[in-house]
Amino acid sequence: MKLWKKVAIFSTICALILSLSACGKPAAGTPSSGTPENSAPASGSPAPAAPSFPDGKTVTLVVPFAAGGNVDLCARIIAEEMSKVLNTNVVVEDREGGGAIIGQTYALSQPADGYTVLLQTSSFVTNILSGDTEFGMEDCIAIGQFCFDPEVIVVSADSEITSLEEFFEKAKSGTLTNSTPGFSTSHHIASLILADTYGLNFDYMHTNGSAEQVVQLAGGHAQSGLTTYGGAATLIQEGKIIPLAVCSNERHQALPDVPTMAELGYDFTYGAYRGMGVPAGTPDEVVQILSDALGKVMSVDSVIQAFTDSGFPISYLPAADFQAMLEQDYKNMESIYHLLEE
Amino acid sequence: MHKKDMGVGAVSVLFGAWMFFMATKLKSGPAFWPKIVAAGIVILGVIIFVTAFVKLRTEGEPQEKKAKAPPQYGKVLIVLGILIAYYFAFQYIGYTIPTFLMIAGTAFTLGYRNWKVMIPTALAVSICLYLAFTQLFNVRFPGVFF
Amino acid sequence: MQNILLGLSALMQPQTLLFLFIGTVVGLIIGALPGLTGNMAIALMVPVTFTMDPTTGLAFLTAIYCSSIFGGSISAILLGIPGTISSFATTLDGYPMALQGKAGTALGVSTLSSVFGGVFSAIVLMSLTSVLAEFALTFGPAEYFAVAVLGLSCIASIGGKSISKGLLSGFIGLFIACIGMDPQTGVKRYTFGNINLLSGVEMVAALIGLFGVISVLKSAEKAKKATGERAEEKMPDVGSTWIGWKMCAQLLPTWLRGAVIGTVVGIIPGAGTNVATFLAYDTEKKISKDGDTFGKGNPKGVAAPESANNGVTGGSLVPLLALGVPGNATSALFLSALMLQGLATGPVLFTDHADIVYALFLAFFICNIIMAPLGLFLLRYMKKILSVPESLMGGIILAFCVTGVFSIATNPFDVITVIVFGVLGYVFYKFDIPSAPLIVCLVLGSMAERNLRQALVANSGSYSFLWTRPITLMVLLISLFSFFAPIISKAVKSARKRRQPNVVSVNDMVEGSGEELDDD
Repeated sequence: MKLWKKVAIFSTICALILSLSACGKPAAGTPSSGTPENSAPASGSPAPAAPSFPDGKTVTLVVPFAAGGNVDLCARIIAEEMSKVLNTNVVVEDREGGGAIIGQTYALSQPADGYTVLLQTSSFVTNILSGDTEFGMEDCIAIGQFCFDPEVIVVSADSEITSLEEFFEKAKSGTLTNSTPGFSTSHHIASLILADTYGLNFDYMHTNGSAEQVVQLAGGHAQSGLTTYGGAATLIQEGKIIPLAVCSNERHQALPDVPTMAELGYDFTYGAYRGMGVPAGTPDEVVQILSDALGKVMSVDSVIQAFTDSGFPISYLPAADFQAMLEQDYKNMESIYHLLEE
Repeated sequence: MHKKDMGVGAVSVLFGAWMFFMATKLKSGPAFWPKIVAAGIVILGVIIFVTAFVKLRTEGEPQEKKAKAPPQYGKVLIVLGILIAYYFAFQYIGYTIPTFLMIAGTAFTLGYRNWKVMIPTALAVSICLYLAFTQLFNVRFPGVFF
Repeated sequence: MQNILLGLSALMQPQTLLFLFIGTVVGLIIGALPGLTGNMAIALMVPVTFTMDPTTGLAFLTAIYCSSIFGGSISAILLGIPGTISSFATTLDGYPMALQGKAGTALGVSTLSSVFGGVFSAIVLMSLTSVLAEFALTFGPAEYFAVAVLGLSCIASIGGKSISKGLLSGFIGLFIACIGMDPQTGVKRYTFGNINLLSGVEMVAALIGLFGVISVLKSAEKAKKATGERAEEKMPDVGSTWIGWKMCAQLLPTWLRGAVIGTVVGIIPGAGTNVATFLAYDTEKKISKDGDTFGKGNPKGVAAPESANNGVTGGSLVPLLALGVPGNATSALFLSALMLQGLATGPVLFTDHADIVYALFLAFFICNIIMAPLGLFLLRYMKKILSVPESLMGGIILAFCVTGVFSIATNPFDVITVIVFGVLGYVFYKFDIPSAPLIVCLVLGSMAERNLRQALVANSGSYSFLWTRPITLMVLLISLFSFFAPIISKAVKSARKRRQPNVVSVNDMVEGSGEELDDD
């Protein structure tokens, strides 16, 4: 009797855990059956001409950042479509921490068979330059870039700056406070390069993430900053944050009235890029298959829609181009890295 | 009791001093806050030490309440040992088997001897956790076996 | 009113209600498991909601959010292990209540407090979002610093018998918060060349170590060699989870204070969640006449933080919906979900998609209301966990702690953190050093430092912002009072005690009785 009772209690505990997975599955399953999604049948089988590569094994996209962040979100949108294109299971794994070094080190130390893919951002390059990593540029082969988010130069509405000229003038003569989402983030680095190129002076206020950064700007606690459009969209629309220029060659879709740096006579492009890479030593065919798959994913309507809605500008670069771009970025960063260490 | 507190005070002073020393190697910006904290630790260490010392002088060491049984430090160490072994085992061997052994081992160390309950429970918990985490939370466990 | 009806009709679809219900149950269970947070569940579900219609998706996430915050109190009360930082303050009184055989009452109080806090914040969210959003923008580094200091000031009062030891524990927490890259210059401090420490000590891992592992070590210390059968015979008396109307009426002021603190502090982006529970607990302790019994199983000590942490849920969405700025990690996930649906945040959302916004508000409302019967019902069974003998539970607790923490970032190093903090907690316990202040300082330390230094930059290196900015000055003055009040009152008491050395203090008696229950 007593034994029965005890086992009953323990099994309730287990049942609770199991009910978790039971609850989770319908949640994951129903929507796809409930909504008429046209892209699903279309992209079922066209590509898998590859002889051996996906081979039914799971491909893992390693995100070196926290779940729910921008990179994670991109990865999850891509993973869903990529599993259809590659005809195998593609999952996302978040390994945050150590300024992304932990996830990067982990991914690059996995077997070079294409089943572990690293999500790359500019932090990959900066981390290598910091000297804290065990890996170098040569330890990773690029697969492709899927997103390029240009930096937007913004000022607080309270700063009473209205044009880039005025901004440059003020930043040259005295010091402007510059709010960043954190030390050595791409926005911070962009500001450093900008300041270095044009002889500007900033007092940096490093907040904890882009949400705090834009609040500081909107509240007038900091005067200027560089950010991407997505994070500040609402505050820009409300006129609390004023965009002065976009650091890309073309105007930003969502900011048609904001000039580019080139239009204003400055040769300055910079942005947060996102791409993928695999450990060095991965066979060329596999890299090619993954690169093609990424390209295909980025042209699927539902992915384009999801990226646009989330404010991530799609910009696909195939493996070779992305590799070249990373190497160029490395060189650029190397030349300005001393600015970070001052 | 008071002697113990004197120990706590002394260790805090040493620790704070070490922390302060490490901070002096940093530039003034990053060193600013750690220095304040280190100073605080040293001051508190001194306060704790002196209070305990004064009390020891004036009141003497208070009679410890007779404990029913002396604490079994051996078992504490065994549990920690199991935990550390588990940490290595689940990285290199797999999840379910080490978890099962860990639960059973800990229960045994803590004095549980009802095998008829212990084995099925340990088995059920380790398998359920494995399933829940791998299936629902997409967690990949390291190690060779499942 | 018309908007509310519009939202209601959007919400009253069978599928939406089903997901609302499922979300509440899932959140409750996930929150209850140590190491697992609602955040994790929501992160996994965000891409799933992409394929749902917006109302259903948001209702689902809302339900997980609210109930996971509440769920955290379950393990905090029953096992003394806070699953997340927001349920940490609940442990302080909830666990002692469970040890005294009042687990049922504690769970009941936490359920109803959560519901009250949640409903309150839902109402605030519904009626005042646009007004309050402006409040969020008034917070600059100086104000953030002041709020962090206010949170820190409670360490003097939650530190237990010896103030100096409580403060020592707090300062060690501040030291641990220093570990990692300096926020302002990127310089590595106290990392010993370990890349796992670059971004600091993982807080949940530290928390689980200090409260989860330690509970097993404590039972190892007094483990009996016998079979343990005797202890199993008796099913501990846990009491009913329904606390009765009389107690509800008594707790009402506490709930109200907790909910207001939670909602208001929750609105401040990036600061809210953690500060709110500490503040609510500490405020209640100072206001109550029976403040002495806090930390020894006072129901108010459960009610205040629980109503506050659910109050935060609504508050944290205010800046998100009105300004597009997420107030905490969870509302960042909500932002992703909104964006994936192609919905812009801010005033546009209110004008163009009023039905969705109000459906979201009502989802908050409804899931909090579902939570009450569901919580009270499920907890009647969950509290049976207490009847599992401690000796068997030990290993299970360890398995949950390690697995949960490992799953945060699939980083084995976090498991080491758990073990190290378990040992640290045990050492603290042996030397009568409280560990609660350590957690508070660990959580708030880097916020205080970061914002102090930012404020100095913004103010060209001058400290004048400490007294020239009204909010900062006011909050700092309150902090000073809150910090010194318990020290002074304790000094006065001990001076009195010295005059009458024969009187045994009430504190010691209650503490002793707690210990004995522990032994049984």
